[in-house]
Amino acid sequence: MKDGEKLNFIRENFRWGFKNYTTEFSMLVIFIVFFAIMSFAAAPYFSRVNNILNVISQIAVTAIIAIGQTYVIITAGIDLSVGSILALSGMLGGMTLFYQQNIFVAMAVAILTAAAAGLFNGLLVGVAKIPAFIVTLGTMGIASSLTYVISNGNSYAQFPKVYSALGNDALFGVPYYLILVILLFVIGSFVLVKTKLGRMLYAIGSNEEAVRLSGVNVKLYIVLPYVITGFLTGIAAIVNSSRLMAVDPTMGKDLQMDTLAAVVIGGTSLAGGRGSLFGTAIGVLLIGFLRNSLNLLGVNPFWQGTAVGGVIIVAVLAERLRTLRQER
Amino acid sequence: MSTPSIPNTPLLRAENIVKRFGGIAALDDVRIELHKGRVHALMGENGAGKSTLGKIISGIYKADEGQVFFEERPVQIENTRDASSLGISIVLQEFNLVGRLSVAENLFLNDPAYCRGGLMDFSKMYEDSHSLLKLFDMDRMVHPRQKVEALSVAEMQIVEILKAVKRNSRVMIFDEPTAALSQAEAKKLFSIINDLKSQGVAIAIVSHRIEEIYQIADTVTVLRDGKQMIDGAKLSDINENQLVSAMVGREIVDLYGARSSAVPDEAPVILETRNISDKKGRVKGVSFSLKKGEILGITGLVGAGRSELIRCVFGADAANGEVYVNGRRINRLGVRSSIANRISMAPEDRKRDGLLLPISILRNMTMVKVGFERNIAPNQKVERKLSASLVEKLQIKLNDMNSPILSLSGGNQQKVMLAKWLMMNPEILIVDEPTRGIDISAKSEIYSILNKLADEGVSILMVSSEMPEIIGMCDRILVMRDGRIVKELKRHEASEEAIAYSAMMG
Repeated sequence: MKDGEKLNFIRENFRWGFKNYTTEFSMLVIFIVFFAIMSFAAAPYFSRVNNILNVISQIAVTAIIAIGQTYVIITAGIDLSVGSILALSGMLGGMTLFYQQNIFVAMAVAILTAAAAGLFNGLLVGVAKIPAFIVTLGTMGIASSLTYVISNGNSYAQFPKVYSALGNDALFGVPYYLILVILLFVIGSFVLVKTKLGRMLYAIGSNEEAVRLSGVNVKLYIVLPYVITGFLTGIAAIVNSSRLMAVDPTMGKDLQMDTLAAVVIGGTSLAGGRGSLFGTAIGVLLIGFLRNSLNLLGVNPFWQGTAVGGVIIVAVLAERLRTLRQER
Repeated sequence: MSTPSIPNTPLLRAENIVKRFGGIAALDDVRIELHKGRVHALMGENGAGKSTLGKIISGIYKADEGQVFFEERPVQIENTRDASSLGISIVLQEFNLVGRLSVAENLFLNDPAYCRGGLMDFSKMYEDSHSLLKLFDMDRMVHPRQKVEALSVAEMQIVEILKAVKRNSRVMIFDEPTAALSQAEAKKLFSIINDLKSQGVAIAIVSHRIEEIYQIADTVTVLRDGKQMIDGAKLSDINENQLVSAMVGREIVDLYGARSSAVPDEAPVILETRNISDKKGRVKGVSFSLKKGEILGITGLVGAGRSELIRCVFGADAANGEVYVNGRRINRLGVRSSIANRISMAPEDRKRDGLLLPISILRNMTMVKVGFERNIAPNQKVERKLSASLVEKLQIKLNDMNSPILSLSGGNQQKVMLAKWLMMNPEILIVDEPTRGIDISAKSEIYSILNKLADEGVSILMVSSEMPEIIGMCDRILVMRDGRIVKELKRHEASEEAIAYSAMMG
C-alpha cells in the first residue's frame, strides 16, 4: 500500500471502529460525566484512591461473570443462573477448604462445579434446543436450593490464612484480583475479536440457520459460551470467598441483575449479534460507582435496585430511540 | 364496444410526487393515474422508485411533495389507515405475516367481523379461509390452521395476496407479486386480478417481468432512477424493446450471455445421486448426475420438491440415499462433508438462510471459510485479500467491506452470498433461485458469473422457477413433479411449453 492509501485505510478503519461502537462510546462519555459530577457531589471521598479500590473490590466478581454473560447474550441467549451457580460452587469450594484445608483442591472443586453447571445449561440450550431463559431459570432454582441442602443453611469460615491473598493482597499496590480481572478482560476481548470462536458467537447471534448452512457445528458454539460463563463464575466464586474469607448460602443474589445490567448498558444487543467487552466493562463500572455514590450520598440502600433498574431501562430506551431514528 | 360505464376520469391520480431518502431523490416529479377496471403496470429496475411510488399511494411512506387525488378530489394520505379508509390496499413484497399464527388468523387478524363480543369465531374464520385458498387451488395443500412459518415462500406470498383480496378494496397495488410464484401460480394470480378488474377495481402491478406485464396490464408507467420515462402509455402502443430501453437506458442484447464452448457428451460425471429421499416425503427417490462444467437446471411447480431435493444433496436437511462425488460415495451426508467434497450451496432465501444481517460484508463473505477451517484465530489479512479479489471478480459494488451487509442492494447481496461460497473454490456449485428479487442488470451479471464459472470447469446445479432463465442458462433441464424427476430435456429440446407440460402433467 502507498502511504496515502494506508492513511486512508487507517482513517476508514478508525471511522468504522467508532461507528460500530457508538453505544459503547456514548456510555463511556456518560460514565465520565457521571464520575465528574460525583467527584463534586460526594467530595472528597468519592474520587479518593481508597474509595475507588473499594468499589473495584465490590465489582470484581460481577466483572468476571459479566464477561461470560456477554458471550452468552451475543449468541442471543441469556444466563439467569450465574448468581446461584456462584453460591453453589462457592459453597462447595468453601466447605472443601473448611474440611480439607487444601487450597488447590478447593479451587478445583469450585471451578469444576461451576463449569459443570454451565455445561448442563449449554447442553440443554444448544443440543436439546430449550430456550435459554427457561433452562437457566431452572438451573437458578436448582443450584440455589442445592446450596442450602449442602450447607444446611450454614456459613463456613476459618480458611487457611494464605487463601486470603487473592482477595486482599496487592502487587505494588495493585490488588491481585484487579490484575486478574484486567487479564480476563484482555483475554476475553482477544477471543471475541480475533478468534474463530468469537466470530462464530456473533454469527450465531445474527442468524443461526445461515451459520448451520455454512457447515459450522452450531451446537458446539452454543454450548461453549455457557461453559465459559460457568468456568468464570467458578473463578468469581473463589475471588468472592477469598475476599470475605467465608462462604454463606446467600452469596451472589444480585449477580443475575448486575451482570445482565452491565452487559445491556454496555450496548450488547439482547437480540444477539452485536456487543463488546469494552461496553460491558463500562457497564460494570457504571453500576459499581452508581451503587457506591448512592451510599456516599447517604441514600437509603433500598433505593439501589430502583437506580440500577432505571439505568437498564434508560440504556435500552436510548438504544431503541437511536435505531428507530436510523430506520426512518 | 360502446361502454361509457368506464369513466375517463381516473379513480386515483397522483401528481408531482417527490420523495427523498437522505439527500437522494427516490422519486423526482412523478405522476400516475389509476382507472377503474384497468390494470396499470409500474415498471423499472430495482431502485428506480416503482415500489416507493406504490408505498406512497398506500400510505406506507409520506411524499415530500405532490398531491394525490381520489375521484378527482384532493386527499391527504398520511398513513396506511387513511389509505385503507379510501379503499386502497397494497400487497407487499416483504411479507407482513405472523409466522407463529395460523393461515386463517393471519388472514382475519384484524377483522372485527370474526370477533363477536371479544371472542374469536374460529369456525367461520376457517371456513372463509378455506374458500379464499380455493381461489388459488391451494385448499388441499394448505390448511387454514397451518402455521404460516411452516409454509414455503410461494405459499406465504399467496397468503399475503389473499389478505388484500378479501378486503374488497377499490384500489389494489401489487408489489412484485409473482417474484416468489411458479408459472402456474402466477397464472392463477392473473385470473384473480382479471376478476377484480371486471369488478371495477383499479389495479397497479409493480414488476420488472416484461412477459407478464404484456399478459396482464393495460397501461404502463416506467421509472428510471426516480424519473418518469413513460407516463401511462397503452401497452398495445409499445413494444418490448422500447420498454426495456426505457427501463435500463440501453438495450440488453443477450440477457443470458454465452459460454465459450458446449459441454462434451463424454465429460466426466462429477456428482451422482441415487435414490435421494427426504424425511417429510417431499422428495421421493431421486437419481441424477451432473457433468464437469455443466449447468444443470432443476425446475417444476412450487411444491414439486426442487429446493428440498438440493437441500438433501447438500446435506442441509436429513435424507436417505447415496451421493457420489467423483465416483466416491459421501458416507455421512451433511453440510461439513459436502464442503469437504467441494460442494457449495447458495440457498433460496437470502435473508432467512444466508445473510448475517447485523454483521459486515467482509465477515459475511468469509463466514464459510472461517467456519470450515480449523484455525483458532483466522488470519484477517488473508481474509481481506481473498474478499477483495472476489469483490473484483464478481464486480460487487460497495464502498467499504466493513459496512453492514444491509447497505447493499439485493443484487449485490446476492453476489456476496455467491462470493462466500466461491471462496471455498467449489467444484460443484448449487444455486437456488439465484436471481430472485434482483433487477435486470444485476441478473445479467449473475448469469455471466455462472457462465464464467462453468467455463472454468465448475459444475453448476441451478434451481429456478423462472423458465426463461432455466432455458437460457442450462445445458440440461430436469423437470420435477410431486417429489420425482419426470422429464429430462436437452437444451435444444427445451421450450416453455415442454417444461410446463411435464411440470403439470408429466
